[in-house]
Amino acid sequence: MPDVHSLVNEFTIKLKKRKIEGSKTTAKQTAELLRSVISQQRIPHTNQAAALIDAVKAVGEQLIAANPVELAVGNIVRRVLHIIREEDLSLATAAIGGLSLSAASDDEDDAEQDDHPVLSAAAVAAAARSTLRPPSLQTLLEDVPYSAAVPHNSSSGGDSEGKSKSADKSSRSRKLKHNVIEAVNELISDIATCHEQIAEQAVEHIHQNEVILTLGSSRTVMEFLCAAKEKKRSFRVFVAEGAPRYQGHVLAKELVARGLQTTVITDSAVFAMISRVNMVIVGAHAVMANGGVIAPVGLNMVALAAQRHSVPFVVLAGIHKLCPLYPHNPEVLLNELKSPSELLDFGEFSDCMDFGSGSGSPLLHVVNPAFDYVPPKLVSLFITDTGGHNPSYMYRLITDYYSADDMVVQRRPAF
Amino acid sequence: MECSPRTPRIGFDEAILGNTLHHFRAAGFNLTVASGAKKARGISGKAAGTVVEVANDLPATSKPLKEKMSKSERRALQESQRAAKAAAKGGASVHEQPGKTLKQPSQKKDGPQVTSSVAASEKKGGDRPPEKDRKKDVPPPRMQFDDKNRVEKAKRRAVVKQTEARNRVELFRHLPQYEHGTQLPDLESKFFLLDPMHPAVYKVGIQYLAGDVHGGNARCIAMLQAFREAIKDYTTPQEKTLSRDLTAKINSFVSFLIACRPLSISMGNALRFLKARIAKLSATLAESEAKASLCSDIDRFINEKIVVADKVIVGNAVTKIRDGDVLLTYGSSSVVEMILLHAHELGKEFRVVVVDSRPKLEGQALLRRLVGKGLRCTYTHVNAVSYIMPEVTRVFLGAASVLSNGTVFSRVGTACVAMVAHAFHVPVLICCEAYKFHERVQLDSICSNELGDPDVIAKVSGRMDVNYLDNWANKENLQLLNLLYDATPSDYISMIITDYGMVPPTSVPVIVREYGREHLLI
Amino acid sequence: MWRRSASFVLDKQQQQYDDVEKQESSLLSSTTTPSMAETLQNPSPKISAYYQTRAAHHGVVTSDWLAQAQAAVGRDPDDHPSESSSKSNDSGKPFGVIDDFNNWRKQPDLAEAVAAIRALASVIRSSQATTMMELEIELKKASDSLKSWDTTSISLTAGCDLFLRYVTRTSALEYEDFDSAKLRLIERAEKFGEISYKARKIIAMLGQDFIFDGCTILVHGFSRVVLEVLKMAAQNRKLFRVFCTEGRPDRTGLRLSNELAKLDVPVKLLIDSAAAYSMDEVDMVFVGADGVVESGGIINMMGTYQIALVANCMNKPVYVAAESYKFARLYPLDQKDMVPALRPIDFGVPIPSKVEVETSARDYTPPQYLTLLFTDLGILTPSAVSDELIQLYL
Repeated sequence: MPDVHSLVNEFTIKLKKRKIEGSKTTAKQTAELLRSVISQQRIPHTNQAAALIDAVKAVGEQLIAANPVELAVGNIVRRVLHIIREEDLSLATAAIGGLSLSAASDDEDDAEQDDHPVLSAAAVAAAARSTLRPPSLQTLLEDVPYSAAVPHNSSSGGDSEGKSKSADKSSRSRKLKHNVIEAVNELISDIATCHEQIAEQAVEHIHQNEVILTLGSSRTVMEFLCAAKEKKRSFRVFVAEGAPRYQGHVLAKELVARGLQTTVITDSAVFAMISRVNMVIVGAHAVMANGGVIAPVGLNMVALAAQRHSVPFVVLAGIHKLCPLYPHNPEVLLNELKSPSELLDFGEFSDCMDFGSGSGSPLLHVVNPAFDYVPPKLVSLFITDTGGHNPSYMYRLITDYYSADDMVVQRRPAF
Repeated sequence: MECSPRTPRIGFDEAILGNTLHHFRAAGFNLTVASGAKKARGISGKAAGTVVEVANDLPATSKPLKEKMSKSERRALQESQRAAKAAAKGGASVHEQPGKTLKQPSQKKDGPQVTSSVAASEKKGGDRPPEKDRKKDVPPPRMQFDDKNRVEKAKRRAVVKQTEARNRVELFRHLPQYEHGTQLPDLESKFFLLDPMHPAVYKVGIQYLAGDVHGGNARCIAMLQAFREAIKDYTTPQEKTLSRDLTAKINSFVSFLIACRPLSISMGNALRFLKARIAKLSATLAESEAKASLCSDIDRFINEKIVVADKVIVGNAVTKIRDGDVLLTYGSSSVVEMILLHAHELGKEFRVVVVDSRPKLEGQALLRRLVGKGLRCTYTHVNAVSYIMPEVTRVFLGAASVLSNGTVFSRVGTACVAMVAHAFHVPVLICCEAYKFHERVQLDSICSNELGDPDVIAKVSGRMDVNYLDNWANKENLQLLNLLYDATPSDYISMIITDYGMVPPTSVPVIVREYGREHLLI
Repeated sequence: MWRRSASFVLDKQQQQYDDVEKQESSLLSSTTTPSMAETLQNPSPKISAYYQTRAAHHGVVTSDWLAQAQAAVGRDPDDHPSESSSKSNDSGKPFGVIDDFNNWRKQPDLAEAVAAIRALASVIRSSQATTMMELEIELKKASDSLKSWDTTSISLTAGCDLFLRYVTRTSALEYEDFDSAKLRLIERAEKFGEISYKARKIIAMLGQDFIFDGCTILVHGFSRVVLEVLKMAAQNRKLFRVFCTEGRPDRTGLRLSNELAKLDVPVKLLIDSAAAYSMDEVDMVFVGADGVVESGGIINMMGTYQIALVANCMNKPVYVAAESYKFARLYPLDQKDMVPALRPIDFGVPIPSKVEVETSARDYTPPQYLTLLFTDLGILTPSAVSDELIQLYL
């Protein structure tokens, strides 16, 4: 246990100091940390799932508070919670299925249907299910303990491999933990391979002689473009520098090394050049539930320019960037102001940045935000590791990957 | 004469070596011509006197550089004069040839190639009236940068193997119309070839080149003042009329200035004014009177069209500033700066957001001055404009030119700022003197534009850590694009503040119409 | 109106007839004398039952007026529904249904859908049916008559549909015992009032998160849900300001502003036509909904559409607070593509008979002008509404 504690603390400090950069790394490390939390968690004989959930939640809240702007942390915590609930449910239903003999389970939800013969474990299952599935019109008139049949529930969460688990009651205690860890491992590997998954779709979206514009640098974008190049597509890329980090230079260098025709432009030339561009492909920091995007600073400008010229604005994002929160005022609340030194030479302006002239406030403020919020109406398409989606469909993906309960619980720390 | 194609080359190279060693990468080539360069220098010394008599009317005292005149330089001079004449034929057209040949300075073989081609054409037509040559050489009137055929033709004639040699040009496949690139080293070298240039003009040229004088108004004023100096020192050669010869002279200056940096539209307008004045001079006027009249015309233009106009604009604009406003400006516009300072002097309580962008970072200088005057400022970069825009109540932008379809041609990035402001429903006010209006129309930023030095893209000042593109020139597939202007569509603009009052962008053609008439009458 | 009506002449006649009637009916909004109830035949072609409820529940302002209005409405169902139902419905059961419905409906705090479901529950209770099938048929008839009694009320229709759907699915479940199934249905139906009350609370919870300190909210119309959201936000010590549109001719905004003033929330009243003028100060628009339709758009009090248009044009978010039982399987293509709910309008001066008056009480706001919907199912994008409906009905 102390082992986990120190791990958590270490990770928290890293998050606080912004030592971990990039949502993918953050997501992966969070998942790994939670895995070790789960594996070290002592599990009581009853209500194991709840114990696990509590443990994960406690750690999760701590992590989220450490860097509320890095939404990937919260996403992964919620994903893991969802996994626990799901595994618990599948075990419970499998157990019931074995007893009630109605094992017509081609879908997880069929198993749910069977739980109305109120058996010992059914209550657990029902409770779990009610959290797995968001409320819907169908269930409006129902309430949980009596839950009637729901034949048409399409919110079969994530992977339904759990349904085939045989119901051996004696081994359930170990099994839950084992299954959860297994599923978390899968999640980790999903995060690790999301680039490839996304890049595989590149040829479907990039045609010969396409002109693509991107801003700054994202590993996902780079792999996407390179994947298309490897498939013998020839196209050209405009890379806007992406002030103040100038990651565009890195991307340009990398693309050139892979033999792509690359042109570096200043950020200010985006509007001038966009009319000659066929597609804008960018990465994201986080994708919100309404289809809005928290993206590196400058992308809202690019998106507006793209909209002006009807250029498709395509966002590449691994599923771990999908955040189940609806943003309000995200420009301010989900942003982070970086050091002014990236923009101005302190030596030259130090005198006016801190002299308290009368009012006590310095004459000069330097604003250097890290992120931009791109509203959903400016996004043409999301390409995730599970395929392409409209911004208007994001709400649906969220119900697939997260439990309704967890969103609400974690909401406050996140905002 | 059989060595002539060689000689000008040497002369040119020498100049390059002298001025812009750091830009010139053709080390091997340098070695081969080094001795030749020395020779050329000697020749130039000898040739100087004759050049003055033959080709120049300027007093000898005003010619500090003439000692360096060589054969090749003389040829270049003749070339430029020829070109200037051609340009005169085309009115105030921006001169294509020099711009083209001088583009892409960091190109290894560029300089020499350019010169040799110039020399070649020189050889053919240098000593006789080059009627035939001129016809071919000279861009037709009202040169547009986007005439592909013409550009192609000119390219073929002017620069050998131009496109193949440089990976940078790949970029221009997207901008086939684009024809105005300037390269500092080549241009600087040109000074030595254009010895008979009036020193004032020469100085302005250097200032343009080095970027010491920038901004539409400053450049225009500098040019006009230099011309005034030149006119003061002007004497009409025998058997020539003042109006024709002076026009030719001005044209040669202009082509030199273009070689330094393409003229802005506002400068073209000023030039058009000047030429109209020269053409209108009555033949009976004595030379001194004519010169005095022209000088006063120039002064009047500067005063009325720029200085007073700015005052009017400032007066108009401050009425749109309320207490508690947050005013955003982009880059550094002299008029906007005046407006802000004036409003501050009037005691208005407001805050300024200075948005800046690479590579010029002009905003920092503006910020310095504003903060120095005690204005409360916020500084940010162009990417963060969406972040800052919600708190902004007015956007004040300057313009290089306003075209008659309402498009505002201005510092690159202006369109971005205006677009974001439009998206956030913040009014966008363009402050622009009416002399910068032009009857041309343009829809995008690509048909006509100016390219800056791509090298500055690769280096981020003050950020030693950003060095990924250090050897960019060696990379086949990599191009750096440094656009200087962009075109802001008129629907992003709420208001244009000019010396004719505050007008909507739709009224630009009206102003152009009225102003066009006026500037003939002035 | 013209392009929808079969005959212009007919329209014209109606118009004249209408004017005569209006002079009386116009009293409704101002004085609402009890005698009004007799004058208004239901289903009246001119004034929808929907409107009457609104007038009663959301009408004007002062508490004594409210009491008066309540008294009026309280009498109302006693008088006319019996007539109207006997006239308009010839199916076996409806007499009781509509009666029952109106009895429920007169409770001002009870939503129409709840009343409908309660009424249907009493149909079940009194039903002689012995099989689920029979019961379903009976319910279907009852709900049809309810719906046709007032075709304009969306939440009535949606409530009926929702309940029928539930009954259908319950039967599919095969409760072994028909009686226990029946009991269960009745029990759930009776709980529905509670559900709807809870729904409002959930929506308030979700919605108040979007209210941040220092924001200005424009509210159009009087909606209990929206009021609940604002109340919750005020209780959570959020500092915000509300702009209320006047909401002519019902003057619903006056009522809302009164309520808000009681909560010490700063309120500013605007006339309806000042929406665009004030929009630049506004941070978000909050509206309720009479119905949420398949496309994700809403049908709401007249003026919602224009406010949404203005807000959209100025990039302000438009939030809709609506309980999920208001989701209806309707898909209007444009404004006239729905049953118009008519209401009397008092212009203060007599209107010449030649002058036509637009008396429609509500409009349709297409989904592209809405930002989010706060429902008891959670926060939904307009695209998610159709998802929910498809899941329910397919």
